[in-house]
Amino acid sequence: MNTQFKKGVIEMCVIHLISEQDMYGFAVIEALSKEIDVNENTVYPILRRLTDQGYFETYTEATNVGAPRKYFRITEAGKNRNSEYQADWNDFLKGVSRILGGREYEK
Amino acid sequence: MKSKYLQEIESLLRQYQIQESEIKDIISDYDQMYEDGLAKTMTDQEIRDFLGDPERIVLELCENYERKQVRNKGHKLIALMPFIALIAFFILGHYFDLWHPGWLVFLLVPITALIVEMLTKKKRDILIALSPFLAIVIFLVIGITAGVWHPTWLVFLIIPVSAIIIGSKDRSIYKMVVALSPFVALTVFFILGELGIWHPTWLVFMIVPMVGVLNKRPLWKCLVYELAILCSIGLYLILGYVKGVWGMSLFVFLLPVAFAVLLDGIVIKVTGKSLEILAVIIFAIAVYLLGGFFAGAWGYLWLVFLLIPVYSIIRFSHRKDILVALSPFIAITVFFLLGYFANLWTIAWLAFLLIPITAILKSKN
Repeated sequence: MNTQFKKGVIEMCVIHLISEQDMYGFAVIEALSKEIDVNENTVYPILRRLTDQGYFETYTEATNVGAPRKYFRITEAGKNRNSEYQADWNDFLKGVSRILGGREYEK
Repeated sequence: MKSKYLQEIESLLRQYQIQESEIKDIISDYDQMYEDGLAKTMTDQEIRDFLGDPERIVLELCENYERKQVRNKGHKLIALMPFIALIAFFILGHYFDLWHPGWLVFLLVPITALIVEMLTKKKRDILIALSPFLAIVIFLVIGITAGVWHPTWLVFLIIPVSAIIIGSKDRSIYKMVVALSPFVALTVFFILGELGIWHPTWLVFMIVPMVGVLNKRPLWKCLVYELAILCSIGLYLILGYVKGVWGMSLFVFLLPVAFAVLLDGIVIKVTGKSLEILAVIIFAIAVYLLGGFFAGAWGYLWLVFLLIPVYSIIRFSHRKDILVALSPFIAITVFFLLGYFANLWTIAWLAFLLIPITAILKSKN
């Protein structure tokens, strides 16, 4: 699969995961790699970029394993981005299904 | 292991113009993630695989950052080098009457560009990239000063040899020795040949299969092959020297071949990529030896060995990098052909300007 395309999909998944619950970096990589063949090198940089772009904010919470852990929380801008992604993705999938399915595409 | 992993990321990050606080933040995040991995009883290697390769991580992180000092200072040096070379050339020529071979200073232009470019990439590639220049300088200096063009050309063997030794970091010592054995044999063959003992010095090429089967298992098969090769060499020499039948005695070399058929059925199992490279190496050696023996073209046919890295670049490099990667080899070929056949050494160096020109034209910046 095209690397840029995959990065875009991972970005969408990261926003969606964090829109559902606050997460820390390790947990995000773990959640993604359970479901998709994810390139580990890209997840943290994506998290960081999305935070820089204002889609996430961070806060720390004490743990019992060592230093306080940094959590990512979705912002309003992030929620809007998530909705846009969802809509775009659904349109994209419908289009792909029509093309691959053939029938509706011919109409 | 954790500190090594974090240090790797940190030192790579420091090659970019990133604020200190940001670097600390990134390292702190990876520190936490590493601790999370340890808390889940993952091994260091598992955590490394899970979090990713430092070099790739930093590349992803720094897509929007500029490379700092190394690149900037390096580019200034590249830009200045033609002028430095020109000044040095005129000083050598004007004050010391060394116009020739003073023009060799112009080789500093591509050499500097290569070193600077490689410093921002993998350091082990520097020697591979520099080997053609090193070889050509040694070749020209010895050739011009002592007139010993042949067998000084043997110095060009450092091109494939350096690529074999440095090029493959995962290669085992044994595989490296196997890959180097033809070049060692070739060197010994020509050095002893020059002393007038071409025959039976060519038998030195038998070290290639002898080294090749050293890894053969079970051990008894290895011993059988070694003995078969040694016996055939011994028989060949006895029949040749005692009976004088050198031609007919060549058939004794069918002995190890017969053993190979009996023991292994001669199954040559080479995969696509290595088969292609092997074919190019064999082709280059064959062309060189045939051209050398039948046309006496030892002095220039070494250029055929450049086909090995050139083929590898064309076949396996990313398309957009091909032209830049090929430019040193094109430059060397043009330079040498103009110098060797037209005696235009003093201006042929201009061919090397092709390297920075190509790099600049292909550069995104």
